[in-house]
Amino acid sequence: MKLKVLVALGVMALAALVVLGCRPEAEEPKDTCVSCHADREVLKATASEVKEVKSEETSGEG
Amino acid sequence: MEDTHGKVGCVICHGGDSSAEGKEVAHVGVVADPSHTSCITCHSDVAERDMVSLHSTLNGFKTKLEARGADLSEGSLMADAMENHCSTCHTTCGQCHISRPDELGGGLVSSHIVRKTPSTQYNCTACHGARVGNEYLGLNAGVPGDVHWTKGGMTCVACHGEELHGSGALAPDRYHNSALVKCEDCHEDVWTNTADNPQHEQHLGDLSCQVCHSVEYKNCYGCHVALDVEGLPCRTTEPSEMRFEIGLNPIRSSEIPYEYAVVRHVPVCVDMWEFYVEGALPEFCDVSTWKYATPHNIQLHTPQNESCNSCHGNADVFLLEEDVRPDELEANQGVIVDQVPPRR
Repeated sequence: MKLKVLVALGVMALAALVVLGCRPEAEEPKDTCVSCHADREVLKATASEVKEVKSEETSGEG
Repeated sequence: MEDTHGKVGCVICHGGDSSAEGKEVAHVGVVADPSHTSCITCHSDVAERDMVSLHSTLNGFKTKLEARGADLSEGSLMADAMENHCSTCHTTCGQCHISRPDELGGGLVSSHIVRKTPSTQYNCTACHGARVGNEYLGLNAGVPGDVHWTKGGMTCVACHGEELHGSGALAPDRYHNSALVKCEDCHEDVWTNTADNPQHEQHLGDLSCQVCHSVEYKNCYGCHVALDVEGLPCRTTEPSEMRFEIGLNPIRSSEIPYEYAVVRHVPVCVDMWEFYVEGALPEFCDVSTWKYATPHNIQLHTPQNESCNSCHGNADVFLLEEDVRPDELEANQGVIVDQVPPRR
C-alpha cells in the first residue's frame, strides 16, 4: 500500500514537471525603438524629412 | 547599445513608448533633444552648471547688445530680432556630446555614442569655424596654424574642458567667466622664470601673450540683419580682412591686467538692426568695436618678437586713429594707441 502511494506521488510529480516544462517561456517585451532605429530601410521608409529653408539674400561670412 | 547610456534604454531619456508597434504611437511624447532635462538626472552637477553657461544662454551676445543700449526685454522688437538671428546658435548637452549642432543641420557624430569629448571638427569648429577654427587649424591662406595643434595635436577641449560647462554663475561674456582658461595655467614657468628671456622679463604682465605670440587673424565688418521678402532671416556682411592690431586693452582688470592687447574688429555696426528697430543701439559708442582678442594662432616666433624694434617705433602693428573708421572713433577711444612706443 505504501509502495503504491509512493509510486502515485512520483507519477504526479513527474506529470507536474512535464507540464511546467512544456509551458512556453515568457517572451521579452519587444523594444521597437531599437528594432526600428537600427534598420536603415525602415528609417528611410518612415522618415519625415524637414528641410530648413535658408534665405538666398544672406551674403558674406557669418 | 554597448554604451553606458544605451544600457539605460531609449525611453528613459527620450520618452515615447518602446512597446508600441506603429511610429506615430511610439513617438507620442518623444523629445528629440532631451538634453538638460534628462542629462541632469545622472549628471546633475554638470547639467546645472551648463544650463547657465555662455554656450547655452548666449549671454555674451545679450551683454554686448544691452551695453550698446539695446532693449532686449521680453516681447520687445529686439528680443524678436535676436531670436531670428542669434538664439538658434546655442548648444545643448546633446549638440556637443552626441550630434552636430542643430543650427548646422544636426546629425549624429558617432552613431548614438555619447562622446565625453566633443568632436573638434563636427562640434567645436563647426560653429567656431570662420575665425578661431580656421586660425587654429591653419586654414587661412599663408597663415600658420596654432602650434598647440600643429605641434601638440591638442584639440579644443585640451584647454577648454570644464570651462565650457561654466562655473554655475551666469557670466557676462567669455573673458569674464570665472572658469576662463589662461596661458599660465600650463605655462606657469614663463611667469616664474623670466631670467632666460629678456622680453618676458621686460613685458610680462604689460602685454597679453598674444601681442608677441599671435599672427594676423580675421576681422569682420558691417553686419546687417533683416527678413527677406519671404520672411526668412537673412544677413549681409562686408568682406573680412586679415590684420594684426595691438591696441590698449579695453577690458583691463586685475584678472586681465595687460596695458596692451591684440584687438579684433567685430562686425557690429550702429545700424545693424535697423530693419527691426531704428536706433536700436543708442549707446553704440559705449562699447569698442575693436575688442580684446585671443587669436588661436599662437607661434613661438613671430614678426613681433624678432626684436624690440619689431614693435617699438613700428606704427604698422598698432591700432592708430587712422586705422579706425570715422564713425567708430568715439567707440574706440579706449583702444586706440595715441603714441607708438618709441624705438629702443
